[in-house]
Amino acid sequence: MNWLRRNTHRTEDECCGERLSAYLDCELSAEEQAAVERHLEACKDCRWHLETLRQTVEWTRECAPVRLPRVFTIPVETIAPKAVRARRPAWGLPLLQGATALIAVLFALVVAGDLFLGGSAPRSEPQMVALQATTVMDQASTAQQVEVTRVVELAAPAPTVVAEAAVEMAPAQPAAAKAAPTERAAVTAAPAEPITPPPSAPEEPTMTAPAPTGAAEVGGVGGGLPEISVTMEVMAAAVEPSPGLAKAVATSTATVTLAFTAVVPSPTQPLTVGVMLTSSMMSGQAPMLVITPTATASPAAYLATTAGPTRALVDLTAAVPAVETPASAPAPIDTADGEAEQDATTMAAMEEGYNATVPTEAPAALLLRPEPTAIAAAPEARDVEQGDRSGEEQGPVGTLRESVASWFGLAELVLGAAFVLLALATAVVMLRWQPR
Amino acid sequence: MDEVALVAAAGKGDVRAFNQLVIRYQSIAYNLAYRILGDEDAASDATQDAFVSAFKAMPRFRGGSFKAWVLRIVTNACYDQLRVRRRRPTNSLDDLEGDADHSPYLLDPAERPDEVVARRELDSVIQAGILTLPTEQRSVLVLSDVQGMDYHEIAQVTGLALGTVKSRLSRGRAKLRDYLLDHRELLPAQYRLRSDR
Repeated sequence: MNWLRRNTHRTEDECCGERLSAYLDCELSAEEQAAVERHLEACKDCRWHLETLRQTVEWTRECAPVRLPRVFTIPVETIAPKAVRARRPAWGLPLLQGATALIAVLFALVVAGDLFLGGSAPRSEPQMVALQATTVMDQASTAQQVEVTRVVELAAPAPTVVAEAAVEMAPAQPAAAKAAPTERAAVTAAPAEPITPPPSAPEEPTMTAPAPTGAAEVGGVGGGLPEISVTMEVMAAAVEPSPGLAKAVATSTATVTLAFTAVVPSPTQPLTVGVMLTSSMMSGQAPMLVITPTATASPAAYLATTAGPTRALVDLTAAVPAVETPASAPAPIDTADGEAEQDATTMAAMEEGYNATVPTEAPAALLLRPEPTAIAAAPEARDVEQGDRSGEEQGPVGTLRESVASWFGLAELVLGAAFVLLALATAVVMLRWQPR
Repeated sequence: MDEVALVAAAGKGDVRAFNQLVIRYQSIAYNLAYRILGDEDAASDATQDAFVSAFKAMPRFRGGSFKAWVLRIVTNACYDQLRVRRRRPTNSLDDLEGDADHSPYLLDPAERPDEVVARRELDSVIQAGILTLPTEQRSVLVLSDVQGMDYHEIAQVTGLALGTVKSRLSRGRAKLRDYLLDHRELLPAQYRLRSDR
C-alpha cells in the first residue's frame, strides 16, 4: 500500500527538495527558512515529511553509543622497533653477512696458501743457527768454494736447513781467479773490518761420518775440467726468537755448521768450494766468517786416516765478515750471506788465499771450531726443502719467500681479526633486529 | 597538554602523545566505524588500522582539525573494510537482532527494563537502516546524526562540498525514514513513525 500512498502524495523532492533536511539543521538562510515555513503552512505532505524526518533524526541521534571492545592506543614497544626497522636500510644485514662470508673465504685462502707454501710453521724462540759442513776430499785441491745456493726455512724452533752447494772444479789457479772477477771488483765496497788471517795453529781436522741429513753430489763434466756440484744440507738450530716472523737472524752467538760431502775426482785439480748464506739467515746482522782450515795433510792422508767426510764448522760469532785462511793453505771454504758486498769480501779473500798460500796439495778439510755437539744440541731438527743451484738468485729468492711468509702471517692476523669482528657484528644485528 | 601540543609531539614520533589523542578520539572513531560497517570486529580492525595509519601519517599532518583528519582516515579505513567484505552479503536486521544480552549499545541503566528493550530494538532497526544506505550517504548521515557534526565538519571529514553534504544527508535521512516506516511493525509502538499524512 505504500506505493499507492506515495503515488497519491507529493514527495518532499517535489516540494521542498533538500531544504527540509537543512531546515531541520537550521542550515538554511533566513530567506530560505521563511520560504520553507510558508510552504509548510500550505503543504500537508511536506509537514508529514518534515515530521517523520525530524523523528528519524531524533531517534538516530539518541542511538546509544557502542561500547569500545578494547583500547586502540598503539603499543610503544611495537611501534618503536618498527620505526627503527624502517630507518634501517634493508641491505644492511645482507651486506654485513656478505662481508663476513668474504672475509672468511679470504682467511681460509690465506691460511691454505700459507700451509701450502710451508711458511706457517710456528716461529718460536730459536736461539742458535748451526750449519755443519762436511766435506770429503778425495783429491788435494788448492781452492775450494762451497756455495750454499739456498737456505730455506728457518722458521721452526730447530729446523734443519737444506742447502745446496755447488762445488766447482777448476784445473788450476787461473780457473779459480777467473771464477770470481765480479767479487773482486766489489772489494772496494767491502766492510772496513779487515779480513783476519787464519790461526797459525789450526786444529786437527775432524773427520766424521757425514751427518745424517747431509748429502753431497759431485759431478764431473769433461775430462780435464770436471765440474763438481755439492748438495748440502744445513742444519739450523736457531733463528731470532720472534714468533711469527719469517726472517731468521743469526745472533751474535750463533754457530752455523754446514754439512756437505764432496768428492774431488782428480787430486791435482783445485777444488773451489763456496758457501753462501742467504740474507734471510743473516738478515740484520753481518756474519763473521771465520774459516779455520786445520787439515794440512794430503788428501791421500785424509782418505787413509778417516775415509770419511770432513766436518767443518763455520762460526758466525762476529758482526763483521772475516775469512781466516791458514798459512798452510788448505782449501778454503767460504761462508757468506747473500748480500753482494759480503760475498765480494769473502770471495776476494778466498781468491787471495788461493793465489798466495794455498798449496795444491793441501787438503780441503776445514775446521773453524769443532763442535760436534752443535748438531746434536740442535733439538727437533726439521727437514725442509732443497733449493736449486742457481747460486746468486737464491739469496733474493729466499728473501722473497720469507717476505711472502711474513705477509701471510700478517694477512692471517688481520683477516682473522676482521672475521671475528664481522661475525660478532652480524650476530648482534641479527639478534637485535630479528623480525618479531 | 592541549591538543595542539599533543599533535606536534605526535608529529615528531612521540607515540605516547599520539596515544593521548587516541584515547581522546577512539570512541568517536570506533562508533563511526561501527555505524558504517555494522560489525564489531570489522569496526575494531578499521579503527586500529586508522590509528596506525594516522600515526604514520602524522608528519604529513598540515594542521587544522585533528578530529576531522582522524575521522577521515577512519572513514577511508571503513571503505577499505567494505571493499574487502563486498563479497559477503550485507548484514540484515536478523543479524543485528542477534543475542540481546550482548548488545553493543551502551544503554542507560536507569531506564526501565522495558524501555531498555524497546530502545535496543529501535537502535537495531536504525542501524540496519543505515546499512542499507549507499556508502557515501551512510557516512554523511552517521557523521551528522550519530556523531552530531555540522555540515562544515562533515565537509572537512569527507572532503565534499557543502552542497554535496547537504544533498547526501537529505537523501540518506529520507531513505532511513522510509526504512523505519517499512519496518515499523518490528518496533515498539512508541517508536513507530506516523504513516498517515
